[in-house]
Amino acid sequence: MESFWRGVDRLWLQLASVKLTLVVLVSLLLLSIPGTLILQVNISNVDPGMQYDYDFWKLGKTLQLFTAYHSSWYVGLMVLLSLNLIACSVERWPQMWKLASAKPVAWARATFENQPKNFQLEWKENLTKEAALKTYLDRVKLGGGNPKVVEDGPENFQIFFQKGQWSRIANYLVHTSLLVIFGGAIISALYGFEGAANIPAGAAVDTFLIFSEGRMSGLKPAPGGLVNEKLLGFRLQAEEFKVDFYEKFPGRPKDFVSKLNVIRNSKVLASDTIRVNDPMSFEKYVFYQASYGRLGDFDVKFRYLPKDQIGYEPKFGRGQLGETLNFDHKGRQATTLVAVSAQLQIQNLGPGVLFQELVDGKASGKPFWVLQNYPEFDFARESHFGIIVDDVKELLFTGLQIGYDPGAPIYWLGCFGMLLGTFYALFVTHRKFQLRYDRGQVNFAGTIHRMPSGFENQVKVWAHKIRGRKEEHGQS
Amino acid sequence: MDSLEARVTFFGFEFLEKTLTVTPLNIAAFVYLAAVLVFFVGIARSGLKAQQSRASSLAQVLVVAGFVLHTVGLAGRWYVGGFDRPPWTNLYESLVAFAWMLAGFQIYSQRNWKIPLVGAFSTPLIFLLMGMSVMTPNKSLEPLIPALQSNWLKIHVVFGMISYAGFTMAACFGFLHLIRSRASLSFLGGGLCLMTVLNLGISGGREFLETGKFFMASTVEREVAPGQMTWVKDTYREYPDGPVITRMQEVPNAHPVFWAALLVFALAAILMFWNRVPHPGMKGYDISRRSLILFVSGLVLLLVFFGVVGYDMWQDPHLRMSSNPYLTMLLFMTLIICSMFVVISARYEKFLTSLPSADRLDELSYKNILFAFPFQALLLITGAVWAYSAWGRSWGWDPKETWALITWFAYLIYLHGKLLLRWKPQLLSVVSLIGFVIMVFAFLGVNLVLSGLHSYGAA
Repeated sequence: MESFWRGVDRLWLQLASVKLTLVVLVSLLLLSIPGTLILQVNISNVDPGMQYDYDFWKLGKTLQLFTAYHSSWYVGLMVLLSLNLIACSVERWPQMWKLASAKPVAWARATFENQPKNFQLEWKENLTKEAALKTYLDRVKLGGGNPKVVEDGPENFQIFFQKGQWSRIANYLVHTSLLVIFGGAIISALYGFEGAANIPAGAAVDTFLIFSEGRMSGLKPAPGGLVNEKLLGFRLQAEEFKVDFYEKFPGRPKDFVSKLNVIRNSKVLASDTIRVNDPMSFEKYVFYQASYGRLGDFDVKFRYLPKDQIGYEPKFGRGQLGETLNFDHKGRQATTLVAVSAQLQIQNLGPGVLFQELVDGKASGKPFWVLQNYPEFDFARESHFGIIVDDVKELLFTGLQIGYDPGAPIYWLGCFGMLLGTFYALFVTHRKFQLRYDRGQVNFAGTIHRMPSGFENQVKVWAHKIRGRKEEHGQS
Repeated sequence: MDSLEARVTFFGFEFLEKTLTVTPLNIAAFVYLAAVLVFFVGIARSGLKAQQSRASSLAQVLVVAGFVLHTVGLAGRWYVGGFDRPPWTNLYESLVAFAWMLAGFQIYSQRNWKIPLVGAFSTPLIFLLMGMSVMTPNKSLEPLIPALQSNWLKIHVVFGMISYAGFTMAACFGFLHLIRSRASLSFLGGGLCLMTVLNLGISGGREFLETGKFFMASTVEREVAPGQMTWVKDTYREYPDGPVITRMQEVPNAHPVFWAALLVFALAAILMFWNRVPHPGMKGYDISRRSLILFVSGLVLLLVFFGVVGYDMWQDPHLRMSSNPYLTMLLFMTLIICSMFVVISARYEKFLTSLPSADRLDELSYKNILFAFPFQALLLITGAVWAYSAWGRSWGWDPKETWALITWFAYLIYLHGKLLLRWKPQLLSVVSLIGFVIMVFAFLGVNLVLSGLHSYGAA
């Protein structure tokens, strides 16, 4: 039993060694690299099996190279880092706490003499002990210090004050925050998910495709769907989708906007307009505007006008490509039309639609283009009818990213703590000042825990403040 | 570029957009080049105190002048682009903006810490970035795609520039510290050779790594309908006055010289590491004549390479140096830094006397890292927050993110080595230099060699 505890002790000490920290950090540095060079399954759409030859693919599969950041070796390193961090923190706490919260002690004369010459000053004081004590305490307080009187001999006193002592333990904030971030990430990895849905403008979906999913996400598979298709639990409708382009830079999108409706039991429960950088949330889901694409289809609005019947009301037609539309015609067989193709820009003449007339389901005559901006052209065509195109709209789908990230508040808190701690630990130094009054002889010295150069100025400034010499403040 | 020919009014005066947004930056680049050359003279004048300090003051004046022009150019870009479009939205602009921050850091170092020759190492880097930017073909103020239309763009990138500039200054001080503390000059030279090999590899780009042949971009301007796709090796880009296609094209005569330079530098690296000859009475100077000859012949080969590429360009007008800003500048840089090394090793003892104490240099390197490190954390975290609001995931392991994290690890190692293990200053300087190399890769290499979400910032 005793040897077991000795083993535990030894393991603990190993875990608490700073050397281990460095080994883990160097390994993390090196092992983060392969994942940036080799295709990652969760990031790229390309299958590594297609990209690499068989032997490398097999090796990569065994070494989990294609899921490098979720591989057992990478996660293992993170776990080791966390254990090391906890062990180190616990092991060093008493020492660090002592440094930060040490009780002031009286310095012997020799202690002053052993300080670096440029970090100490001495002067003669005419005031009596009591008067000097009171004046000095007031001046230190006035300068922003929190002085403590240290008992010394009957004829003398010492004053101690310090600045930035918490920077000694600010690293604890950093390290705890790092663990909090890990905690948040673990929660997200277990309960969260990330997916996407492409919804044609005007249409609705009730499933989405998942990229990554935690084991406890609770998502239900879509019956009869793809392997990674999951049920949303409601209908998500993209009521409208619009994309704007910069005028001077064709092809460069300026803004894309979707109007989303969440529908359950034919009731709209929520609706919002989303754009990039401005998502919408519903229950646990968050919908992000990520991309858009062309469906390769158009919505065409036009009017049908027979030429041989004066005063005939035009008939309105609306359809997508390939849709057959019938137009009744007094005393004649109905005309059947189908829009075969459309373009938004035909040789700088604006939008146009390619129509074909059908008779008994078969093409009759040649297909003909109708330009929206030049309706007169179509009436020059030899035919018993003419067409006016009113609107050609390209059908787009909106690309949504759908996510649930329950760990987010936790890891954001961790990030905040880490920033605070990092800045405090690295920007603030622990400075201690000690003053000794001995029958009119004053010694004043400062110590600093890192970055000593330039500290002599601070010591001087404090000395000036304590001596009440305002005019010399800030001079070096 | 159509848009840059437009006119803008600025304080009641009318300017061509170009005059406000590009010209000052281009001039600044040349002013920095002048500063580099004067610094070079300063190093060569080691031992002649008066001459050296005259040279370094003149160089510093030039840097300040360049910085002023630089500021004018950046302000002009911001003014013309509008408040919501800060001048760091694509690779061209991030080069310029980072160089600006670095110049600011250098001027601050110079004023505060009075170490004249540190500028001899940071100014070439500033010029490297500016030179790349001058050669970038597309300098127009492209409007922002939706993902970049965020206030995080302003904040996130600035944190990046601050931390990266700090790390760069730390590396400069670290390099000086290594020389001053009489670290083995052979090791430094060997490291430099390895860097050069890496530089040449990166300059060759993905094409070189895949085929072993040397490629250059050649620019073809021709009619392509907007949105039409071209074949994979081409990069297609829309300009206001029509699309431009850049294609990678073999440079027929360059392969043997490129390979020779690569091999000579690799050999020189090996020789520098293995064949060290200590000189009596000159601690630290242990570079052997053989390795120095090899090193210099590598430099000569680089010059020959430039000649060959120049000849090929003369033969084929489609090949344009300016379409390969990174390649050209990296090679040019290698030339400058390696020549500097040769000059330093030639005047070793005298150069050392013109530097402050090794402890001081180490402390300044450390100070810069202390300053830059929290900003690196800010860079990572603001990036995560932005990604979260744009794409719904805070951390996606895309190469740019991951390399920023790797940079963070490198400096974590520095800090823990320094604060807890009390590593020797020389080892720490080496770590700082390695961190710097990683940082450069995170900043530029990822965009040039790897691809990821951030690649929309690529040229």
